[in-house]
Amino acid sequence: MVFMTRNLFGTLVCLLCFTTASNELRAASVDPEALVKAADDFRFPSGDVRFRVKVVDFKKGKQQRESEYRVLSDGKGRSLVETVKPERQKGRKLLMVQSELWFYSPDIRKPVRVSLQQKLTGEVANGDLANTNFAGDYTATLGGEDVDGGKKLTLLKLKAKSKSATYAAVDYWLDSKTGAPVKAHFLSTSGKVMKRGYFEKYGSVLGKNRLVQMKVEDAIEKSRVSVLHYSEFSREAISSSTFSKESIGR
Amino acid sequence: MRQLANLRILALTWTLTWLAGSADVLAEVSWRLDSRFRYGARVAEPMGVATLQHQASMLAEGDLSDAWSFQLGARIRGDGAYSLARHHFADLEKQDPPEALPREANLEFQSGALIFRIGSQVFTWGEAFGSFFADVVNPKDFREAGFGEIRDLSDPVEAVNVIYAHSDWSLQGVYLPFYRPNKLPYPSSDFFPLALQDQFRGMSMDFDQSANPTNKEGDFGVRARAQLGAFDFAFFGFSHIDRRPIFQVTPLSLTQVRIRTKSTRMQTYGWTMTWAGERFVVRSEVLKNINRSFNIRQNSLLNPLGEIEGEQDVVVLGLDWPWHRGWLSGWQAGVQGSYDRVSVPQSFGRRETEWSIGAQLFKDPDSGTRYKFFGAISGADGSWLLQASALNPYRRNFEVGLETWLFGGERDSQFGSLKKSSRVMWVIKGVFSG
Repeated sequence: MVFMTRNLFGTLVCLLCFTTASNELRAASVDPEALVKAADDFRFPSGDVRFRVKVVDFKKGKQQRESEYRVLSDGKGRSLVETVKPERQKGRKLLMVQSELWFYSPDIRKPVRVSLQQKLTGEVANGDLANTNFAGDYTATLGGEDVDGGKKLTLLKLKAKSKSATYAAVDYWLDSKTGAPVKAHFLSTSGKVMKRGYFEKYGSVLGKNRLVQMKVEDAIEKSRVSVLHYSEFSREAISSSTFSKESIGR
Repeated sequence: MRQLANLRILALTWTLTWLAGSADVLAEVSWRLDSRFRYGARVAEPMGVATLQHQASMLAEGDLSDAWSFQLGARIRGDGAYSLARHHFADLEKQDPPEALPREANLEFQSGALIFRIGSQVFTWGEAFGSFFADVVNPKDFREAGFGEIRDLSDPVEAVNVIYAHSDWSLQGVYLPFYRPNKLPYPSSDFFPLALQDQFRGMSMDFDQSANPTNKEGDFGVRARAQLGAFDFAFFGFSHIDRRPIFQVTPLSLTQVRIRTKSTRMQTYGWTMTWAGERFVVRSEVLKNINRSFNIRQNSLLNPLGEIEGEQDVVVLGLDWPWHRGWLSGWQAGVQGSYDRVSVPQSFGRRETEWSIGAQLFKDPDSGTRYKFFGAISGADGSWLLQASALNPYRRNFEVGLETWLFGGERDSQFGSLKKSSRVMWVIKGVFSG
C-alpha cells in the first residue's frame, strides 16, 4: 500500500513537473519505461554502434591508471568490448550475449566461458562498459522528485528483470526538464549502494546531444573514482557473426 | 658458429621489440608483438642451466574491405642454454636450432552469419584448461611437454574453414589438405620420454621426426554448437592422421638405434559443454578416439617397442569460481581410458586407465602483480606437478617475474619421470602494439 501510494504520488509529481518540460519528455512522461528509453538515447545511440571508452582511475585524487576500450554494441543486449590500452592487455575481449559471457585473451588464445559475476569485475564493471541500454535490462517505476544543484530531478527506481543485469537495482535521476540522466546509484541485491555514477558531460554525438563523460565513484571507498570518456561514435552495420564465440579470436 | 646464431636471434628479437615499440612501423594494421626472455635454473640433479630462451612473435591483423580481412604472424625462437650447458644438452643445438617460422597466414571473408577463412589458422574446440583433448585440429608444440605458455602450444595449420555463426548457434566445416604432426622433445632434451631414454641408455639415438604420411584424403571434420539457456553444447567429429605419432625403433648397430615417428589415420568424436551461473562455471569434454595407434613395450631386444591399434575414451570435468579478493580458482578432474583388443600395458608400461585432478588459482588484476598457480596429481601413480608464476608490471610494456615448474613422483610415473626438468625461471615479457 505504501509502495502504491509512493508510486501514485510520484506519478502525480511527475505529471505536474512535466507540464513545463520539453515536448520529448512530455510525450514520455506518462510511462517510466519510456523515460528510461529516452534517457538511454542520451547515453548511447540506439542500434548498431561502435565507440571508444577511455577510463581514468583515481585514488585519493591521484591518477592510478588509464585504460581504453573499443566497444561494439547492437543495443539489444549483444556487445563486444576489446581492450586497447594498456598495451599489456591489448586484444583482451569480452563478448556479452544477453546473460552469457565469453572472455578471450591473446595469452590463452581461446574463448573462455565466464560467470555472470565477471560482469562486476574490473575497476569499472565490464557490464558498465558494454551495457548501452537500461530499458532492456530493468523495469522502471517513478520514485519521486528531487532537487540537486538547483536542478529539478526525476527519480526512477529501476529493478533488474533478470540476474543477467549488471546490478540488482538502480536509482536513476533524470533532469526533469530534458530527460537526460544526471546521476545514478547502482545497488546490490541487498539494496546496498555499490557505486555512484554521475553523468557529467554531454556533447554532440551522431547528431544529438549525448553523454561524453561519466564519473563512477565507489560507494564504500569514496576516494576511488573512475572517469569514463566516450568518443569516436560511429554507426555501422555489424554482421550477426560478430557477436559469436567463433569470431571472438579475430 | 652456433653460439653466434643464437646471439643473432637474441639480438634480432630485442631489436624488433625495440623498433616496434619506438616507431609506428605498421600504421595501417593492428599488430601485436610479444617478446619473452626466460632464464631458468634446474632445481633437481643434474643442476645447471635449464633454459635461456628468447622468443618474439608478431601477429598483424587488418581489413582489406568491409568483408575481407587478414591475419599474418611469425615467430622467432632460440635457446642459448644449448650452447652454454653442453653437458646437459648434447646434440640439442643441432636438433633444435634457432628458428624463424611463419605462423598465422589467412584470409577471412565475413558476411552476415557466414565466415569463410582460408590459410594457416588456429582452431579452439576445447573447453578444459591445461589439457587439449578436444583441441584436436592443430598440432601442438610439446618440446616442453606442454608446460609452456598456452598461446605458444598450438601451431597454426593450413585449412579451409567455413562457419555459419549466430550468437547462440553455429555450424562449422573444416578441411586440412596437409598432415602436420606435434613437435616432440628431442632425445637429449629434458622432456624426452624417460622410458625411451632408459631403454636405449648408452646408445646413440638417431631421432627422425620427419615422418610425413601421404594424406590424400586430407583431414576433415564438422562441429555444431548451440546455446540452450545457461548451457552451451558443441558436438564434433574429425577424421585425421594422428597428431601424436608413435615411435618405431630400428637397431642400426649394437650402439645405435634409429627412432622414427609414425602416424596413422584415426577418428575423434566428442562433445563439449559449459554451464555458467551467477558464480560458477562448469566445463566438460567427452571424447572417443577410434583407430588410434599406441606403443606397447614388448620383450624383444631388437624391437622393444611394439604397436597396437585401439580406442581411447576421455572425460574431463571442471568447475571454476571466483574465490577471494579478485582471485579466481578452478578445479578439474580428467579421466583417460585406453582400450584395445588385447590386454597389455600401454604407453611404455603406464596403466590403461589414467586419471588426474588439477587445480588452478590465479589473480589477474587490471593493474598490479599477476599470480598463477596450477597443480595436478595423477590418480594412477600419485605423481604430481606444480606450476607457479608471479609477474609484476614494469613500465608500460613489460612484465618481470619468476616462474617455476616442479615435478615429483616415482621415476617411471607420469610426472615423476620429469623430475629432473624441475626449474625456476626468471621471466621478462614485453608487449608492443599498434
